[in-house]
Amino acid sequence: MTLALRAFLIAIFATLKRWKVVVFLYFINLLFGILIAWPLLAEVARQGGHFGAMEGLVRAFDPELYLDFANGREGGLGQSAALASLVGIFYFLVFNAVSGGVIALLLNANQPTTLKTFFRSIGDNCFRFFRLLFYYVVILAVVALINVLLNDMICWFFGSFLGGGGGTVTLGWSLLVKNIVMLLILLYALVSFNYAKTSVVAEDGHSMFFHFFKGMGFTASHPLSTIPFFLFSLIPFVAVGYLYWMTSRTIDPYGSYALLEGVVPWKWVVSGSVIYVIVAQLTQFFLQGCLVMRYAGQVYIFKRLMIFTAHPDPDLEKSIPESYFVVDRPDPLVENGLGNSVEGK
Amino acid sequence: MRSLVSSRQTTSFLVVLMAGLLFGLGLLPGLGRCQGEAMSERALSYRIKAEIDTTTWILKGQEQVTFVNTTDEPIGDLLFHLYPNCYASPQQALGRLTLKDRRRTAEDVSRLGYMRIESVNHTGGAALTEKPKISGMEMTIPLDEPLQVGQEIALTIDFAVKFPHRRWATSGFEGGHLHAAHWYPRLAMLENTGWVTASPLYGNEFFGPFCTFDVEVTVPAEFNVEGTGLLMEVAIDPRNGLKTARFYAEDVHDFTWVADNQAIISPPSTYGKVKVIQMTQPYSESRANLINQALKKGLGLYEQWYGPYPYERLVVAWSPHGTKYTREHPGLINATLDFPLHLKWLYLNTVEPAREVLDQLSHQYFYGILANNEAESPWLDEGLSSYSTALVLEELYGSGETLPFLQRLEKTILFRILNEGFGCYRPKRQGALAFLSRSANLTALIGYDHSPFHGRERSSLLGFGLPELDIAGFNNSRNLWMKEQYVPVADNAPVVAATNEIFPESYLPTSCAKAAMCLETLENYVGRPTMHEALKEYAGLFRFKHPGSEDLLAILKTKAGPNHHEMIDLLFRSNGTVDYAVDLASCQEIDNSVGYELQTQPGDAVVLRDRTPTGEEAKAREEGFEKITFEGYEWQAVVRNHGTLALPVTVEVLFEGGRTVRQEFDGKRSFLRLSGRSLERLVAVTVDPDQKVSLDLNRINNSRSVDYQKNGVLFLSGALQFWMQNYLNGWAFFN
Repeated sequence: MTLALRAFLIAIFATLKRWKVVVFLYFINLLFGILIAWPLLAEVARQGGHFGAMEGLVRAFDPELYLDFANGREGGLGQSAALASLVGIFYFLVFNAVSGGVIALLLNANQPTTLKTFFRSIGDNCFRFFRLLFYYVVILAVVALINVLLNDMICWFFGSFLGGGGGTVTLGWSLLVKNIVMLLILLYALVSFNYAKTSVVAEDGHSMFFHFFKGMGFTASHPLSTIPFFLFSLIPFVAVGYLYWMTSRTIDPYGSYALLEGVVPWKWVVSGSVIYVIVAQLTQFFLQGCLVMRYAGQVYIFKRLMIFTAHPDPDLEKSIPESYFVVDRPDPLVENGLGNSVEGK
Repeated sequence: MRSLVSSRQTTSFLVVLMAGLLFGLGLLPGLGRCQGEAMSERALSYRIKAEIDTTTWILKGQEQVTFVNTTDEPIGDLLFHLYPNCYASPQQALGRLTLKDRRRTAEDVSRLGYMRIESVNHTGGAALTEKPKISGMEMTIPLDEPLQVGQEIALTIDFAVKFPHRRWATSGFEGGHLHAAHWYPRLAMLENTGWVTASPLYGNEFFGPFCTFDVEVTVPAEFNVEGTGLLMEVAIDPRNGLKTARFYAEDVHDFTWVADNQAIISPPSTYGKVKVIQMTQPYSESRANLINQALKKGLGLYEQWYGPYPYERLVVAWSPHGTKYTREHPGLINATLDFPLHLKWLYLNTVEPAREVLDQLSHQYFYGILANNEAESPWLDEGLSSYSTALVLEELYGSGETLPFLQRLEKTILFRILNEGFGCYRPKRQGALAFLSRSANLTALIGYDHSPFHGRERSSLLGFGLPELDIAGFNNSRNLWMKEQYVPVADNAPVVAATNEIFPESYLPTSCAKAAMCLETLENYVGRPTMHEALKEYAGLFRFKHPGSEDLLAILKTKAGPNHHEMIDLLFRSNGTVDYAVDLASCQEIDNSVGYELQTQPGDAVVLRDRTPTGEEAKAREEGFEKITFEGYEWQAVVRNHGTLALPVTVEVLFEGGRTVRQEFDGKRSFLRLSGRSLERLVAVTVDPDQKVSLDLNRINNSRSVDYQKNGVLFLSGALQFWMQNYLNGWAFFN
């Protein structure tokens, strides 16, 4: 647990140090976002550009106008949703490849953050990560299948076996418990996938099957570090989301920001809409930071528990490039050769 | 709680039993076979005895039908509907079944249903000369001699019904619950033109003559029974452990009963003369009070609008959890819930199923009491009920919560993600696009394409559909669901169209949504009081009289006045659409500083006007006021109806400073051009600013501003882009 907390704190600094990676991820996210949103943005401009009651709409959402907007678009909103699905899947693949570069940079603290090193790392790990992704998707599919089977079994038991509506409350609770268990399994698969990625980059692995199960084994053997850190890593996501939620509510797109108007020469820069867009994009930037932070913390935990404990040979330790992760004092338990028992701290 | 209710139930059962015994002995003549003042023609009466085997769900019954020919002509045969036969095969399945449902039905034939006629004789035992002919859902009984005008005939029919499963049928069993609707050989409606044979295969409701029912149903003792009309007697036979309940109903056109081995009969609530009895399920006990409150207010409003509810009892029969809704039934309302009630916050934040119950209450009036021919003018029931339900909901729960754009957008997104998963869109067609879209749907991955709670296709991340938490919110704005349904079928059929004249698959959108929106549009023009007055007169005059479209339209015209006759015809008889739009709104500054000053009479000179700014004008220009020669603006606007329905509208022209000018447009010409000069700059032009035309297909183009709305567009685009990026973050998170 302590290691998870320490990883969380170190991940913050590591992310700050690799801010260029965050910028890169932000721009990828922005570009893909524009790609999906473009047809709708064009539609908003076409239908809403001269909409006389725009101010009223922005101040108080009118669901009928939303419906009219959807109906007014050629082919409805369905095409955009289909495009979003396609781009979403593509983004998933691209992000998988990019994560190779991110993890490599985080593992090798001495490497400078340049486009060259970043893309080289992506290139080095890209295909390996795709192969690794295959196993991850297989696991997800198996989880989904088990979920469907469990659904059917539970429903059969409470629906047909117990009969009628009598078992619905029990059914509800049973499904809730089942959902929580499935969520934990999903979480386990996700965390394992991330440690498998780290393992592949750290050990220059070639057998993805081996590394995927190594990731699963690693997560399972250090549950008090890996899972708590994952949960800690959710805190920044929630915090950023909450800040956006609070800030965006105070912005009136047609509001007057007199104080700011005095600071900048151009009125439009401080219009409510521009301020909202800036807040929204800053939120996105920080969310990318949160993703990098998650990788950074996992890389730290992996290094602490895997490399230095699994290979206590001092010569081997020297061969590993010095990292900002290990500038902190060596773990006394590790020094005493207690290896994996750091969990107990 | 349950034992408490059970003890109350036992007490009330004993009271009923005592009363039954007393009037059986003739000691309480007033409580006997109620022969109240006839509200309908009562040319038909049924006396039915039936017993159900709850292991096979086969009912065996005997029906005595007494019928008087009240038409102008003698008749040679009788026509009976055998509705349960529609469940004999998946292809015949009645009502709104999807193909998938039919396939599933075919997998388990034992869950289908049928009606078997054992024998038909004259009451008293004499056999018919000619055997009845059965063809699917109809049985024709040739009479030995024509039934003369005013003559009575009495027949006894022995029959058996195998009930289908409620999962795909609107009548049938589910677990230990039986919803017995349209379960007896039912005499068709006889009009002067002959028997009305139209069957409700297109999805429309049933149609039949008003009559009296004296029904005895026998079920196992552990079952509770409720049904249409008065519950006269309940008795348990200790020898065989069977319970017999006797019901008596007058001036109703159908009899429906419900039996359930888990149901709890809540203590009745009385509203005026009406006693509301709820037969709740264990899961729905906590909803009983909410439904009582909704019905109390609903009955009050309907009484005010359409006259008193004429029956003494109204039964709310809850179905097992997740069972789909049944059809409408006189004196009986069906209630159910889709979502589980183990999460307290969920049902504390919703008033479901009040909306559905109130809708069925509307049908008690238009389907139950007025009882028009649903095949001929379905809108008289469906449209008026939808319109009235929307009004009641508005009265009870408000017209809709106003939320800032972002708050509503985010709420909607969260709602959609939970209820539909990422990738809300699922194309109907097959292929790569459908596959990819489905792959990106979290719900499909998780496996909740079919809700665990009822097995029907309803994708949700939680396995059940979140109810619409704010009844007055996004999905419940008064006419939003109507518009959602109406727009795709707007020009398919006129409101007054008969069921078989309505374009396939647009029956409900036309008869419910379009009709209700037309009524709402008319209300916006004539005012709500006039509309209420008209409908009250209609509901009063045609109670128990099976009205037609012309009856209602005539009253609407009388009350609305001659100015609205044409509009009423357009709204209800034409299948045109209406889409008013401001196609052009422009404004230019008038600059008279340079040009020729034209002569005003022959011989005058044409003078070149070239005003050079002097004095204060020049000073003002130096200070930045460029157009010191300002003399006003020239503006123009074009309003057009992109549809074909010419409804009169108002056009509002808004100038800077808030000054407005209004002009009427009859909509008959293809467009209206407005132009003029003004001292203030034109800001926007709006057609139908009071939103009278609910039928308008697109309200966004109803208003056009002169300036580009960069502030609003930027804000909406920013929000859209933000949520698209978040969608991608969702993908990245799982990487």
